[in-house]
Amino acid sequence: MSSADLDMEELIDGCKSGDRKSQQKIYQLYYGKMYGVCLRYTKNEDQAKDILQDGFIKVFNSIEKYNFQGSFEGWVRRIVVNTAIDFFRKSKSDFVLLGDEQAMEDFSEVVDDEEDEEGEYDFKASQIIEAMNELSPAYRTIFNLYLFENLTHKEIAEKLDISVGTSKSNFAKAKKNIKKILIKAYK
Amino acid sequence: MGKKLTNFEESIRSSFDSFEPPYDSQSWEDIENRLDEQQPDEKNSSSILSGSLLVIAAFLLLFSSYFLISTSGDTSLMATNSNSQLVESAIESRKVSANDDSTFNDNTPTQNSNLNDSNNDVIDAENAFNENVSSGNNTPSNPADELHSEDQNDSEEMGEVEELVTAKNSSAIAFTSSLTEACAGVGVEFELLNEEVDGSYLWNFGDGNFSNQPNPKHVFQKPGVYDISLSVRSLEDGVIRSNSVSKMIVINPKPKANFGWEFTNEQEEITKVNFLNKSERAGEAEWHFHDGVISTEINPETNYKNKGEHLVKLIVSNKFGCIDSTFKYVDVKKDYNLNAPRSISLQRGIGFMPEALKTSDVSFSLTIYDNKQPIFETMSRDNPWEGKNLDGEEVLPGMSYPWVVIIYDDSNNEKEIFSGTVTVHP
Repeated sequence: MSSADLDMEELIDGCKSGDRKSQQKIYQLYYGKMYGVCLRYTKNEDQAKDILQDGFIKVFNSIEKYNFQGSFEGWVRRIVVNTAIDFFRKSKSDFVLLGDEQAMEDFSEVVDDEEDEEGEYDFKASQIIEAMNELSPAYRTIFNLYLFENLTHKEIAEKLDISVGTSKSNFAKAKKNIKKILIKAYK
Repeated sequence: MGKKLTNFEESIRSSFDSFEPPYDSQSWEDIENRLDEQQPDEKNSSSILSGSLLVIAAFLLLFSSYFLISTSGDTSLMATNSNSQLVESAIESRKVSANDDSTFNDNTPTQNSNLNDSNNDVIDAENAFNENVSSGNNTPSNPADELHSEDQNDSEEMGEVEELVTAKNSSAIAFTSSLTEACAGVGVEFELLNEEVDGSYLWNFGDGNFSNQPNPKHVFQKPGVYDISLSVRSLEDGVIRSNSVSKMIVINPKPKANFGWEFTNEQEEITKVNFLNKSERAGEAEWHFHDGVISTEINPETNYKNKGEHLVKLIVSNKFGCIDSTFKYVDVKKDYNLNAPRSISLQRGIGFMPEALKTSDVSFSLTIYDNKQPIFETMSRDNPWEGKNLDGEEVLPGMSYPWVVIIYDDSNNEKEIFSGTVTVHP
């Protein structure tokens, strides 16, 4: 085990006993990555900061349950992502998903686009975030879960309690919109 | 993986590979506050529950309540439910351990270990306390109720309390402080406004620290809002007079300036340094670089032409106006002069053009001098100096000729000047 790992263990143990300095160190260490995640799930920086804060409060409150199985970063990230999903679930009106019927219809319409996606793309993270800001929370969430959390549509369907078809069509629509926005703005 | 991504999807994902917004220390404060709210300061509650401080606190609360009533008008009453309970338990524990009161002793400011010395003064103080309490409450069983009813402005009770105060002829203790809002680590001076009396003083700064000085100075180390209490026991008549001002001192968190840096240039380039603000609890930053260059970016970048140790100073501040600063030296390993060649050879016919200009697309002018007179000038990277003067004649070989390059930054109208000499070989 490297010294870095040892330090991490110490920090996590510190957090478990409620040590403020250890909590701060952990926060500093993961701030950038997790804030980056939050920015993708929200429509602006304020929302992202709220979710980041709620997420880390949850991390510190439940860190006792972390048993050093699996990567700590992954564990923190799962909490942050779930916080983001819960945030939009709560405000249901925002979180409208396409129903199945509508979904299938739209799906056939967008599925052809896949072939257009083999070109060269080079967008900056900040540009993509800007584009994602414009999506509805539902689109954004599915887009994130599929592309960045690397879930399958089946897993997304289970997580969000929607059908696989809905997940697929929402992802396709989200992607289409993002591509449109990006290409219009930066190509 | 098992998931095939299109080029577009893959590019979107990889765009975030190294995406990390810079750290914002302000946001930690917010989280810290929320964590603090969740779990009230354990230290406070444990110290109150355990031993001596309980009694002291109770004394102060009880007396301050009385005195606040007697001076009626300014601050709010401190007699709340919890205070009353403290008073109640104070009387209980006083019976059990009289020694605890010895913080009134002149020699024992804060150390609990000193509290075991029994002392006559302490007994006196206790007697005074007893007298006050019993004359104020004809039903001594529950002083808490008395205090509680004062909240509701029970006139009868008020009368009784006032009687107690005047009977004892104790005028209120008043004090002031040099600052009411400060940063952690800054000393605050306290001053008694009454005439100094022979006796013992006990200041409670509300952060677990006490003083026996009449006019003490105290450094608050932790951010917070502190209640300040003072009890004075007169040597003459043994009467204890106290006052307490709730939320008298606001201590704000102090930022801690710190920074690091990394070199971001390629081998051939000018030394580029990216500074990383690692300050804690700081919202704003002011960087002082060489040549009086100041930046207010959080993580600025700057270039160094000359090798050597360069002083960098960082001053940070937070929203409370508390500042901290630090400085470090950046060790630059190499001089950079546009990677200009030191010499050219007339024979080989390769002219003089600094390497860096050949590969970049900046606007520049290059001038060669001889005897302080310009003998060649160009603004084109495709037009190197071939060792000739204005008349197209070859210059004297074996000599060094000064050159000056001015690089123009069109975006902000600034220019950067590089200079050196080039030796011309035959």
